[in-house]
Amino acid sequence: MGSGRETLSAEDLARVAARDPEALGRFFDAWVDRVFALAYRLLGNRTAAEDVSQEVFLKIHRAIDRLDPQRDPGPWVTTITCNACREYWRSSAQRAARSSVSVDDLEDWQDAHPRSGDSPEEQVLRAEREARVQRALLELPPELREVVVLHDWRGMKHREIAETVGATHDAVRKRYSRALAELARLLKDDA
Amino acid sequence: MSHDPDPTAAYSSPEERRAAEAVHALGEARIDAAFRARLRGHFVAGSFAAATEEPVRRSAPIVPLFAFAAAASAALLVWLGSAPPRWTFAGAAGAGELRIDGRVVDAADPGAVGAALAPGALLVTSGSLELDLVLANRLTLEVTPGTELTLPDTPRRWFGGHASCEIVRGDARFATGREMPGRRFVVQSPLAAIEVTGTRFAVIAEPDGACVCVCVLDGSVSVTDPDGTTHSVTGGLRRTLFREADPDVGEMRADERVKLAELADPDLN
Repeated sequence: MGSGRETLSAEDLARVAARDPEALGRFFDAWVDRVFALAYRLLGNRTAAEDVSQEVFLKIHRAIDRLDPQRDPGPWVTTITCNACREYWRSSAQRAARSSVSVDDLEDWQDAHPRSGDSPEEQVLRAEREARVQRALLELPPELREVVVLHDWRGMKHREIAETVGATHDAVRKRYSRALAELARLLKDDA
Repeated sequence: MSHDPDPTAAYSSPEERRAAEAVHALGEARIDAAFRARLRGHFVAGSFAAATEEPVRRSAPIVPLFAFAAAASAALLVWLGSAPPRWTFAGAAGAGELRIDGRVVDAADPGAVGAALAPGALLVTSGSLELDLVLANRLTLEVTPGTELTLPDTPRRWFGGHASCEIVRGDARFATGREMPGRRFVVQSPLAAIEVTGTRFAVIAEPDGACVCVCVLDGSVSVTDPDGTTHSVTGGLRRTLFREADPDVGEMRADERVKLAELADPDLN
């Protein structure tokens, strides 16, 4: 999560830290879509992603007065999101939801990539291709999934990921290498 | 995603490169607008923090019992405030017997039907009796003659958010309302598990359990086949599962489309 969709100035962030309602609203608008999308990719379940998004913004709200207006809040928000996902993985809610794969994102994906010429069958095929990759991601252990999603999907460098997940640069590189090898095997098996 | 693939990445095989590209190409799931608006309201007002925050620790050493009682009262208020809506009886057509949890209930008596509509209750309709039931702002359920199903449970407003029901046999039509998005709703049928948010769909289960058809008017539902594979069924399509044959996918029948379109909107009740 590099920057929010709307860049908030240091002055704006100072108002956010002071819990100014209008500034809080702008901060929320700048980050909520990315928080939800990342949580969805890591958890593979819309309900879980909503639960985690709620948890993330609750934590941000509690700690907002410690926000440093001089720094990009992106790494902070990403770290909170990853931590909340890890807490979710450890929770009973994850174990209960594990067997269910939501497909709401598939519809979202179609909305985001409209192809007016597509027949319903082509839309289904496209959606199922994406579901196949998401299912393979969910087969990865969480610590590997996190690294490959942050690197290949979110576009973060290994060093940035290391800071976000609290691991060394070398550890992240190794996790990424293992994640990609496992993902390649899963997608090959599933083809 | 907007970033470019990493040109410096060294992949140990073409399969790994393809895997990285497949992840890179994944779309960005969009947040449900209603959920987003609710969360924004809570974030700006700080209201969800007040409802779920831990009790203030610094007062604990001074008056621990008071702090405990206050926290318990707050939790109780939150719990009570999150109480789900009740199922209501919206109407019946045709003639026949209605059994709820094995007891015959007079379908012409709205009070008697309403009182018997407990979440998880087993409903059985016979003859030509059709029932319309509503869970305000969440679900509309149309139960057709000859159907046996458990009434969906009712998720609390802020916790859990999971509803489910089981169709043993017969036809049932569902429409989800504005408070349903973000809450999982799962329908179990003899040959498939169907998961849904924000749509209108029908589940038709043959009496002998040999065939189940899932028809979707709009939105998208997820159907898990008996072999555990999950497939999406989008608006206008149906997925038909057979006990002894391969699944069939195609356009939904025109008459089912009409029936689903006529299903009452739960948000209007």
